[in-house]
Amino acid sequence: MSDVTQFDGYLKDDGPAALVIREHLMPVEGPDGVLFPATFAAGDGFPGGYNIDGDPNGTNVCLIDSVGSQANRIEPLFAKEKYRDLVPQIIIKAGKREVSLLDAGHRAGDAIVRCSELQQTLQDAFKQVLNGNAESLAKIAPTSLVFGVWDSRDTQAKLPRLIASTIRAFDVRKLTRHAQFIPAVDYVREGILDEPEDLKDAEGKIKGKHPFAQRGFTHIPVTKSENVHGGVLATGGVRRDATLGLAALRLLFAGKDETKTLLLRRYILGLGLTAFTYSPTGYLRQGCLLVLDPSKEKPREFVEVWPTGERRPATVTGEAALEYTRATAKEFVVGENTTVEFDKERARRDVTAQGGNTTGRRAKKVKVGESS
Amino acid sequence: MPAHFCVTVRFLQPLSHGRGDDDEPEWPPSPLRLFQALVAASAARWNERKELRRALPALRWLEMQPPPLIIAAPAERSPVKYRLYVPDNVGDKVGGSWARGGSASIADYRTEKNVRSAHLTSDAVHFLYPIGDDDRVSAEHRQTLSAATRSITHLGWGIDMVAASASVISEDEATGLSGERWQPEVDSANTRRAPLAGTVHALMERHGAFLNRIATDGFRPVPSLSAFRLVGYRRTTEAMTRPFVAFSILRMDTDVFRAFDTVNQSRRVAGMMRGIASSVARSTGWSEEAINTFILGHGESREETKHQPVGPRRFAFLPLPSIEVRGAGKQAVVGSIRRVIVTTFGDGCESQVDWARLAMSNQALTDEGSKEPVAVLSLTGETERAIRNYTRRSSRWATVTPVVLPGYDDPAHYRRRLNDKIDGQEKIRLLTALNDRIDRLLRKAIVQSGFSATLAEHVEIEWRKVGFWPGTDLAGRYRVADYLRRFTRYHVRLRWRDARGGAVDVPGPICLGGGRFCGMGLFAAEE
Repeated sequence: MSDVTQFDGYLKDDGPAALVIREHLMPVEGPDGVLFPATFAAGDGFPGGYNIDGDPNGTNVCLIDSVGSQANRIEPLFAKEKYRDLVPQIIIKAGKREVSLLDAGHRAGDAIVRCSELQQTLQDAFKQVLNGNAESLAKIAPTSLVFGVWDSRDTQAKLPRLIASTIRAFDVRKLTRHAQFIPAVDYVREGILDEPEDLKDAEGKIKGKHPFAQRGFTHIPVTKSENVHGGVLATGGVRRDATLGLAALRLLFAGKDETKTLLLRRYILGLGLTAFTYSPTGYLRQGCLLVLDPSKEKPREFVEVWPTGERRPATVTGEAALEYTRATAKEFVVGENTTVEFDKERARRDVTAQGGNTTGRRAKKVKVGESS
Repeated sequence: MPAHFCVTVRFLQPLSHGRGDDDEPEWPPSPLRLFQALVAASAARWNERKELRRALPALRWLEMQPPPLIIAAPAERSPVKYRLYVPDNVGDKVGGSWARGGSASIADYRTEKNVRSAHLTSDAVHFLYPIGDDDRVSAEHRQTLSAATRSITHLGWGIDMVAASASVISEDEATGLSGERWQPEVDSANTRRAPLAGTVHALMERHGAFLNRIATDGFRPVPSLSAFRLVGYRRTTEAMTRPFVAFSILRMDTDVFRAFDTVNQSRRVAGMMRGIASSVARSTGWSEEAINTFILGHGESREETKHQPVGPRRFAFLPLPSIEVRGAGKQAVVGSIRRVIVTTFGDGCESQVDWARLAMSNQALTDEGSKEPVAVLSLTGETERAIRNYTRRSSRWATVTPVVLPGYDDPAHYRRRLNDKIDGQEKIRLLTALNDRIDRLLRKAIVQSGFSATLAEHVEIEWRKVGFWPGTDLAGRYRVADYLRRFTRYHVRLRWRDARGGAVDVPGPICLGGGRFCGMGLFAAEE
């Protein structure tokens, strides 16, 4: 059984401010392989495509996977077999579908769960958070304390995220690619399909769009600027930076009860360490499979960061974190697994109580906030 | 001994997402942003999430303090933003659809969120509050704030995780902190929000309003925070924009330019400007002392014989040689003087420059010997190209009149020793020492002209006897006042740089060295 006191130094007020992991990565094809960053939609002056800051031909930083995207990859681990006993598994059923609270974008503050029989429980838990006691919330939705939560539809209680992880590439060279769809058969030449008579103008050019193009019956070259992104070469390397905020964790209380506060903090620390030391899949998207770079002296750096800025080497393995969490979860007494039904009537009453506007319009108006 | 209460915030990832009033990435973070983080940290640290008690007196003390000096890691603002689509908290709509057998998706309910960050070159930003009265109460407040500071976990957006600490540091320790220095400055247009008396109370009220914004009778908008002030900040690598007024020099009773030879008559033009300024000032009620100091640059009384310098708070009369495009190759060439600028190198002299604009326009320049009028001053626009050659922002400048070094460049007579029979190594040593000496004198001249020590330290300097601008003469041929003759003159080129070697655009007019108040050492922008 793991020693539940082994990380108590991280819970002391004079302890380190954070743990930071820095992983040096590379494409699975090799350090000179092409990788495909995330693409972003155009709008408001942004042409769309990759997010590359700096000199496109020199020093720059390219976003490969954002904080939110990394969080979406990490949080579902608590539904996996090996980890599921660490947190209560809350399932909301609506019709034939069901969603885990671990997958709900706004976690314990998500509207889908507040419109169930858990509404009062969660409201009470959030009110207790505002009164300085996070124990109840930890019983029902402990990952909300790890990844952050905002009860935007009710009490407005907010807790910050403890974990942030981002993957960036440095000094990238952007590549382009072109392609052409070639149909299996030349439908027109084989006489299978007839082109419309008014398809071409007097000069023989196709007027507007070829009607066969949308259905895949003709050759289609890929030429639009938004479709020719060919990945990047990361000449300066790829790196994942992850942070576990210990100073923020030390701001969780179970009211004035010091013993319960310690149990609460140990439990959340365990969950945080488990998530922090978990390496999310290196497969981010097609064309972007990342692995550790063995050419680096330390492919994985793990440090304690103190308030003075001092960095001291440290290490906590994933297995050690898991064992610790099992022990602290047992001490804390993890909340019960629950499956609840989505309550249409409760949702209707919720909307009516808030002035009768549709929740969609209200949500847009107040911009109720982001998911992880 | 002067000291500072220093709050240091270290970003755990090299990015900051906080936005300023212009919706642009804000760097460095404003004092108000830090204050708000301290308020939140205090509430969380002592578990007073609805109403502050423990740290309230200390926060009230802090909001009354003068705005801090900010020392921040240099940062590059991202030039473009990227757009995320974050799901709205309307899972009930999706659940309702599913409960009815529908197939709605949360992906159908998303809000656009634009992200634009500042990339940090290092992790730290320091806020230095001057310690005035070091009484017991203030010391207790600093102790409380130091404890609260350790609980600051974010500064900016929720993804900007930080570690923070606070302590009292000495002036020497403050000098040793690395980063760009941002000084509070009244006249700077680059402002930051800062707290004032009542800010913490307003924040508490706003928090209460936020917690109650969704009520049974509907949504109650939360009023924006208004209890703050705007404080101007300027980086020490940024030169101040000097106020100036420009005049064309015209022939009497015509609108044709009256030209003066730059090499031989620049000093004469400055002298005539000084004369007419004195005369007009006397007739408009200036005191003799003010005329003596601000216009003539004499700190000594008429009875004293030894000259007493008055520092930068005085007029500088800068005759401007025209920079003309000549020849088939359209080369810019320095020509004769046809315009003049009146400016100062000191702070807070805007009213005097405004006086010159009104009082000296249409005045006649009088020859100091014959007392006859030789030209008339005509107010000219500041945006005129001939003026902007000397006043626009540029990182590269070169002299149109040489810089008179502010000291002897060869007190140990190294040049004499170079004529002796010495070996190559000794020759190199002597030349290096000479160059180092000249370099130091030129950087000294830069600081004497009102530029920051930071700018003076990092500027790249070239010097030689031959001018960098076509049309200039050898440095030694320019006529100077008798008391300046014993100092060596050089033509100089400056490339302004910051600590990282990045180009810094500096506004003119720039005038360095001895005789700078009369137009010696005048620079024109090369870019």
